[in-house]
Amino acid sequence: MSSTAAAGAIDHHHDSTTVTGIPNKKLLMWAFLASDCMFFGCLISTHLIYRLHPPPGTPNARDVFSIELTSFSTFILLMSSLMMALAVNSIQKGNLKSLRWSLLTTILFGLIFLGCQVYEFRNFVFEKHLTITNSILGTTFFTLTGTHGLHVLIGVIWLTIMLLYSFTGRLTEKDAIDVESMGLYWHFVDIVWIVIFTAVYLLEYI
Amino acid sequence: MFTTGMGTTATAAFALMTMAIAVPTGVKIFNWIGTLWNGHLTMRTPMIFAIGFLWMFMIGGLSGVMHSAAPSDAEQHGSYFIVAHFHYVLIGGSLFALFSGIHYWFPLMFGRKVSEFWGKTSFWFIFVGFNVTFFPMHFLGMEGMPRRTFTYDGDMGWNLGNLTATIGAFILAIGVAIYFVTMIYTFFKGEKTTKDPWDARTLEWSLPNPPPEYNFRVIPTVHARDGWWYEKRHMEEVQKEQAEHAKEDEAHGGIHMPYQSIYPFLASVGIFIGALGVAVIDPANTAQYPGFWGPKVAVTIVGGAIMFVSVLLWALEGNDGYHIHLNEDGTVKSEDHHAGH
Amino acid sequence: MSAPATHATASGHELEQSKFWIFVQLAMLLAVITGLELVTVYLPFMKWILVGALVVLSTVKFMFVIFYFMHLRWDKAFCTILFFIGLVLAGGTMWALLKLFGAEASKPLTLSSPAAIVRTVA
Repeated sequence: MSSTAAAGAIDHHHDSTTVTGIPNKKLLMWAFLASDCMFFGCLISTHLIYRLHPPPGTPNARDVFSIELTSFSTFILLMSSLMMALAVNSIQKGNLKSLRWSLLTTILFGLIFLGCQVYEFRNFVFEKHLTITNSILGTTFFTLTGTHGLHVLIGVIWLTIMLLYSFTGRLTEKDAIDVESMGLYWHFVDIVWIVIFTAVYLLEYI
Repeated sequence: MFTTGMGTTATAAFALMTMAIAVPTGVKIFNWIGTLWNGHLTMRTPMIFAIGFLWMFMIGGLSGVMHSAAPSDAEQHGSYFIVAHFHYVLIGGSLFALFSGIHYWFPLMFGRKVSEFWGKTSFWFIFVGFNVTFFPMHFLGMEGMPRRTFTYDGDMGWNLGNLTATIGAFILAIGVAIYFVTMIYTFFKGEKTTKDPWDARTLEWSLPNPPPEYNFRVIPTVHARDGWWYEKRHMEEVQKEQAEHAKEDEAHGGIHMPYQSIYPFLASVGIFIGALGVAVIDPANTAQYPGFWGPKVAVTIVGGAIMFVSVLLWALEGNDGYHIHLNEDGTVKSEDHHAGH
Repeated sequence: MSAPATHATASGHELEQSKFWIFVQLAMLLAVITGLELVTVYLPFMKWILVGALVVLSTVKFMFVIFYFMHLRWDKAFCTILFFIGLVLAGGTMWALLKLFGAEASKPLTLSSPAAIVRTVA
């Protein structure tokens, strides 16, 4: 049992499974992502509700948002998702060098996204005077995008740790499931942003 | 909640959901009755606590489903009827079941058997006290006594109900005190027990007392729903099976044990401190530390940092574990901590 | 290894090779769809058509990412089921909340709403 079976089978010694035949780590991550879906669903709903029925005195979102900046950061996040998928692909083939480059670019793009978010938030607070407490638009917007940004930050930290870990020599092909879990999380952050971009930004401009 | 003015749609939706809970709960009650049905019950302390649980929880559930109907809840809301309901489900439900469980598994945890006499005594005090306390509250609620008030007018007609409840509360307190004193006494001076004191049906009782570090010598193969009951009646077959598995395990490098790591505990300490910072520390009381980086934020960050570092070190430990090799009599011969296996 | 157990070794290797190109092409497609969404917003159609188009485009992007980047297409169906349970619950909650807060009784009071008129008169 400690010898790996034919390529493509699950290595039971390192990737424990139950009767589902799915490695536990992967199952855990999918279950977590399902719950995170519900979390973001609630935050997005709250934002949408108060955009559909705004209390009097709510600022006009079009005056505040900058669609160019947000489009740019959306594109960056999409590309980072590609890099992440390539990273997972590399480690599954045991190519550590390619893994490290892919992880590095993912981290870089993630940081650029975060930088754009920080710039946008500062612009909204200091120049456009939209804060988390001074209007319902601000509250729902900052809570939603702030939570998403926090998820991205946690992802970037995790990616960095994984990148550093890959230099210790303890990350090998049989640990591909760990990078894959990381990939699932990062892609999830991306798809949430896809929904947020449409629901929060694009809908304002119709 | 039905009195918050959230509109008919929401009220209807929540009323339906609340009523819907009653269906699986009812199924559970019948399951439990079915488990007892036609059984040869021995009325020892865990059993009478369990039967008490069944009955009291059902009463609590019945008053609960009365809350699911919005019009009737409009009257009951904020009154002692609700207090009666949730105490019936919490004390009658959770607490009775907890007491039953503690009593039942005490021999497995501490190797001593709790005295039947004191267990039964504690049960009767708790049962009588609990009902005398909380049953009158149903009536008090129906007669309009509100919750969360520290006093009330003497001529509201609530005096007798409250007096009864108070007397019951003292009886309940005596009962709980007897229970816990018995537990503590038994922990130190109780009658030591052999393996399987209840002639039980489930596998945890197949372990020697106290259980060894590695728990089971061989991972048990479960042949029936009541695994241990089956094993006791098919001793030879099971022993042969276990001998085979023991040989296999030894060939694979012994019994695999997970790491005994302190990091999960440290991570929980970190979360605790962080949560204290977020939930407990009040910025208003710390006004002499103005600005963003006051005690609240500082404590939260420190807690978060401890949690983060603990989780990181925990992850870096890896999940390989170590292996144990056994002697014939089950004592540990040697431990293998080599990495990468 | 986490490669799917259902593929034989030979085709498994080929699948790994072509996946690289699948990912890159998919990323290009996603970028194009994002551009399409940006253009859609400024088209002179009725609101509901535009909203519908945006929802469709977002859903397409969403599905591509979860089935290809997140590997669901090649994994056991249970992973998909698990995720869709969360997704459906989230969507259902969203719909329920939008309906609840869209009901007349839940809308914020303004000077012209009926309840306010009743209050000021009484």
